[in-house]
Amino acid sequence: MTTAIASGVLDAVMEERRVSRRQYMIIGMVVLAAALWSAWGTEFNIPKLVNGLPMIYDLGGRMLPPDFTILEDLMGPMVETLEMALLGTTIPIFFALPLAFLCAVNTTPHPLVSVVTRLIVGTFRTVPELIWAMVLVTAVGLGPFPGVLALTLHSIGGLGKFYYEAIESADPGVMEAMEAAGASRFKIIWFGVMPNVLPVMMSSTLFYWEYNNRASTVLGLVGAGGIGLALTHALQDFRYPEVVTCLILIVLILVVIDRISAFLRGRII
Amino acid sequence: MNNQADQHAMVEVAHLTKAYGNAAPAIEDISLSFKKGEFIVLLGPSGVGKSTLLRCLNFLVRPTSGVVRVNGEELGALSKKGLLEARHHIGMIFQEFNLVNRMSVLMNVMCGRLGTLSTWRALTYNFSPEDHELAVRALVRAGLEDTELYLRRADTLSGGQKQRVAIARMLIQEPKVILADEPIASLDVVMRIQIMDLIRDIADRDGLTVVMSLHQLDVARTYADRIIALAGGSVTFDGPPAELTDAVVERVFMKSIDEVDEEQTVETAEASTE
Repeated sequence: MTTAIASGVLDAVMEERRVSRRQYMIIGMVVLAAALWSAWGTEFNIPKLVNGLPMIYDLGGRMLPPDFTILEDLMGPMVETLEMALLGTTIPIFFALPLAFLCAVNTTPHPLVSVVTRLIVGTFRTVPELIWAMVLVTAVGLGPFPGVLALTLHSIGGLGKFYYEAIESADPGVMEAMEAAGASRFKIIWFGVMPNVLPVMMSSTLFYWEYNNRASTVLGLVGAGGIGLALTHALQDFRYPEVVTCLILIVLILVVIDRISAFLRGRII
Repeated sequence: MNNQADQHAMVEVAHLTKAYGNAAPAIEDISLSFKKGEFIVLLGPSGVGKSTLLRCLNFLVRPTSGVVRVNGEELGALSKKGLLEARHHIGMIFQEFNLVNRMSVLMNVMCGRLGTLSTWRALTYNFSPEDHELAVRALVRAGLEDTELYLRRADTLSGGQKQRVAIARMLIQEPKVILADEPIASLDVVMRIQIMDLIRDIADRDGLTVVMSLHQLDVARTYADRIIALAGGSVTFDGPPAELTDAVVERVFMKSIDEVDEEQTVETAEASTE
């Protein structure tokens, strides 16, 4: 009796395993086909890479040793980069938070408002900060200011999404309890939602600060200030030892910032 | 309508119907009247409209049609502000307690005073000293005398303690009516009795009307003045516990009394293992 049942179960298990194996095979083949197609489209060429190796070796030789004499001159731009990231993360908080409450389905005053604000937030996020910076440099001129604006616009989109997702994860029961006690809409949000979602929001803000530090190092490529500008100039004038110094500095600073961010996020949760 | 009954009615619903979307109505044409100090249990398995009926009594759910009157006020006729004011005097407790996990016990209780808090004070989470005093008194009354607990985060408490905090939050509203949505369903057997005794005691002392949804037949029989059984969105029984004999239960729930008992035993076991 029991063996009959057991063999029935075993059959079912085997059948399921066959089906799932077939599914993985199909997925694998589709991914492989897409990859081959992309390789063909992007002229992916290993011999070319091998032939280029001596060139890369040569370039490496010209880069070394790094020119650390310019380190002092790089401090200004580096600090500027960090300042851009800091402003570009703190300013958007004040726009992203109200927008998020309009976006989130559980706090929006009307479903239509949610749809419209999501579209706005999504647009801000979808345009890369480099594109924002190009546009803004044209509008307000060269320098770190358009860089800050570019990071701000992109971060409104990014933080907005993080924030409204956090709000939507809020416990509906708690909100109901506040409503039942006669709390107004604002008080329901302030007492029933904020205390529980604040840590998530702080954590994602730190994440964005980290991200913006990375982003702000390259904004100089389009003339929006910071260490990226120094890097671009050195690259344009073939001063490779200086390029390498810039890169080392960038990597070091970003590693330190990642560490700080990770430490702070660990403290929050 | 009879004037005599009208004067004593604390909660009154007439021809109450609530339909969600195009589905069959969750409750249909319900008319009931609850007196001051009456302990009412809405009995029935889940999905029969107990929760909807309960939430219509403070307009957390807006009825599709019909009238709800609490303490003489018709909720549907009130302004937005008037409704908030009316809700302030209707306490409510829940199966999952619905406390703010990351706030202190004391803060959670003071949330019962949100209806009276100015926007500025709300913005800075700044309750008045009087509110603090009221909160402490409510906590003591709800059976939490240990002041060491008051500044702890709500999620560090046990289930029974959480429900006591929720009861304190409701008491601080100085309610005339208590709505309780399956308040003991997430508690173990010992806690169930303690919490039921507490609610019954508070209601008796303050002369409060209690409307409680339950699915435990034995608990309903022990504590209720009046049991209202719901099935398919309508009232199938309305009377004192003594009239709810096993035969009536079988008719109302359309299953044998053994099945009803068995379901509850299973659920009790589930709650205990949680």
